[in-house]
Amino acid sequence: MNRRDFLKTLGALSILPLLPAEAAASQQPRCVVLVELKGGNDSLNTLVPYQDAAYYRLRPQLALPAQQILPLGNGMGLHPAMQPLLPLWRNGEMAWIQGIGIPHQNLARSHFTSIHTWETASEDQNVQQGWVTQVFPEQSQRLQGVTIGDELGPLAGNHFNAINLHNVDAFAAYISALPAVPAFSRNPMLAHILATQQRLLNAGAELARQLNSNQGIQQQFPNGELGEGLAAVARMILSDFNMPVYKVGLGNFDTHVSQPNLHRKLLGDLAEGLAAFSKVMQQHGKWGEVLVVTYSEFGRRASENRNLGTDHGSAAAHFALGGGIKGGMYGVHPDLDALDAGDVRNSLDFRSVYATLARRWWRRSSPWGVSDIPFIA
Amino acid sequence: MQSWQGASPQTVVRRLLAAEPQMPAKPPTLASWGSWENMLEQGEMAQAREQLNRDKMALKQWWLQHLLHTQTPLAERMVMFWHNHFTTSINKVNQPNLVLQQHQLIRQHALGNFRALLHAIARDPAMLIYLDGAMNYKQHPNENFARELLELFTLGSGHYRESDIKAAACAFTGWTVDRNSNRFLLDAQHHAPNTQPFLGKSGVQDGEQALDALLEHPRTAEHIAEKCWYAFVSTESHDQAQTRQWANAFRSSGYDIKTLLESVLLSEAFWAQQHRGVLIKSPLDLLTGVFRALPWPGVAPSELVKYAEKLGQNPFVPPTPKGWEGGKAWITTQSLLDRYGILFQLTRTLPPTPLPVQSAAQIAQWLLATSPVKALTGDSPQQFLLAAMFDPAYQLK
Repeated sequence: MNRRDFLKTLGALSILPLLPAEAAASQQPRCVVLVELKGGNDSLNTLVPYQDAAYYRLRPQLALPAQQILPLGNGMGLHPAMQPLLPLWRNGEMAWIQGIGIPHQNLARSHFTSIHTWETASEDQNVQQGWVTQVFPEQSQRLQGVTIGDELGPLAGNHFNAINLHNVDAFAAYISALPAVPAFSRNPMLAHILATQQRLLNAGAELARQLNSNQGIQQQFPNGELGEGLAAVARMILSDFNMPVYKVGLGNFDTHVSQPNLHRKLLGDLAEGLAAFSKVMQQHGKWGEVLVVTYSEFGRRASENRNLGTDHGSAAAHFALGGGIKGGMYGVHPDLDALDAGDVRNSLDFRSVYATLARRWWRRSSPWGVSDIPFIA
Repeated sequence: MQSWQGASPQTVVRRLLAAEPQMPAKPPTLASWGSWENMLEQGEMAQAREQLNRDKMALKQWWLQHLLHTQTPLAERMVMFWHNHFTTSINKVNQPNLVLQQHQLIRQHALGNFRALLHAIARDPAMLIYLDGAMNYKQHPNENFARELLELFTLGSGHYRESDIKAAACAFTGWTVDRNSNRFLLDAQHHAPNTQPFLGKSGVQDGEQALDALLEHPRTAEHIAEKCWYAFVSTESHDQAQTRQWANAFRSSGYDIKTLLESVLLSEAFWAQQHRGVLIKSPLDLLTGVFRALPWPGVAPSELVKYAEKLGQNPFVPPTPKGWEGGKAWITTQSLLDRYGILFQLTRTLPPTPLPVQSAAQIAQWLLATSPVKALTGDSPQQFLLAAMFDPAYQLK
């Protein structure tokens, strides 16, 4: 007798409220690791249309030589620095989604309005709730998300129980010295400070209770912003916090000037960090429950500028990794002969990625009326 | 301050604005570009990097020292206001002497005229390097400076089109830095006059004309007035009628910054009870405030610079061209924890001087912008003092 039949015989289905998607999801500790590529990644030199003559015409200095590209098929291939991720592609654990952008992009070429739009899934600059927060509308006593860095970004919003931190051990140790405070004030700024202090106290207690002494994992990750962030995330996942979301970041993608060496270094950090992360997750049997996805405020112009760099563009390709995804190439192949005012045409609303994660990964409803992308079964 | 007791707000504000800003001590001597170049040519990368880091630190300490001791804090607040408006990161420019030059320029105009400041900043070498204006050529325009000029420095987002950015970028082609003299240079061979309409006007051909067109646009004064609201009144949404009124005064004065500040500091909104203690101290407000209140012993200026950086306000290194967001963004789980940790470090040894006031109520009145969250308890003035500094209300100004 399976579980459903068992419940039927008990008549439980008529007594219990219908199990909503939320409850089903909460039994499975599936999580998303968001990777922000800060500054606007040049996706044309990340996922490269290396057999397209237009690519070489638009980028006489910056185009990567075809023989250096790691081919993925259909004329697309990876920047050589992405080599550490190639095994995941071959295993069907890497999905590329092309042509993602903000529809009707007006001022969105600005870093600030654009990243705000990506973080909140809204072009209204007054919206303060992050898109993840919008997928999880109910209050939670337990920690729901952690960003490694200076801000909450997509996890922002009062009701979502998220924290930002730099070093997880130091963070947990310091909190124990903080005094309790009242929870409320009519002064909005004081209320914010008090709420933050309360959240710190709760998070500190939870970290102290739950975090395993598995610092050793850190040695398997490269140094630097992303590697250290991913190591902290790995430790929390392996400590069974069962949080639905984590966020890490890697800076400096705003390559207006002298792009080649900097971009190579950044993509190398990205690929090495994520390869280490997937390896650790696999070693501990967690890789099927984790989904990594990148985002960035915009792509960059199709043609290079005069300074061996690229300026702000619009659409871009991003990738997802995970043992539970359907790897492959999704979205519309960039047509460099039919640019939209100098940019790769924007063919997929960025909220489609969020809707896919909401419905197909977290098994929740999506607040956005956009279609899914089938990179998750 | 004693002599100001009982004076009307008008008198106080006018006296504050009339005070001659105190200039900082002689700035540190910083290496010039040429000496870097020599070091790099001779393959002395490590020495060059060391010298660069020493110069950056010397510059930050110099400003911080002045913040700790200045007799004209309002002027200093405006220096920070403009540094956070015309942002420039020393880590991108990588020439501390040029950043110092820009800082002195801002200092010179901080309470002067915005039109003069805007025109000077557009020619400032550090700015030209920071926003890539120095590499804006007619064949390959670089739009970075033009975009931030419209979005951040003048109109604010939502008040121009992409085509205006392109037109402005074209108008500024050829504005660059002469590498030998480190001065502004209009390089005619890289300049092409703009032929496209700019903000609906034709005939805006060069950078000067673009700046003048931006100064004619009413949004520029409104945008600055709105930033004054966030800096002096509240980081919650602004009262548009009020900021428009300030903007009108500012614009009709020909962009006199003191006129703007007088409107702000004498407005009902500034004095309103609901706006008392609703600004969160920036990291530099917090750190300098500790020492401006009492001479706490044993902290080197280099330590203070590191603390400011840890709390998210590394001087001369704004995180983005938009500057420090401020307001609620100062307080995150990590930064609040760090604020308490650093206060703990700074106050481990009590200052040798007696406190100017003794009772719990007086100490709260002296150090807190609003009543403490918890009553200040203790057996001595020193304990009241520490209770006040560790009360969440101490984070407000």
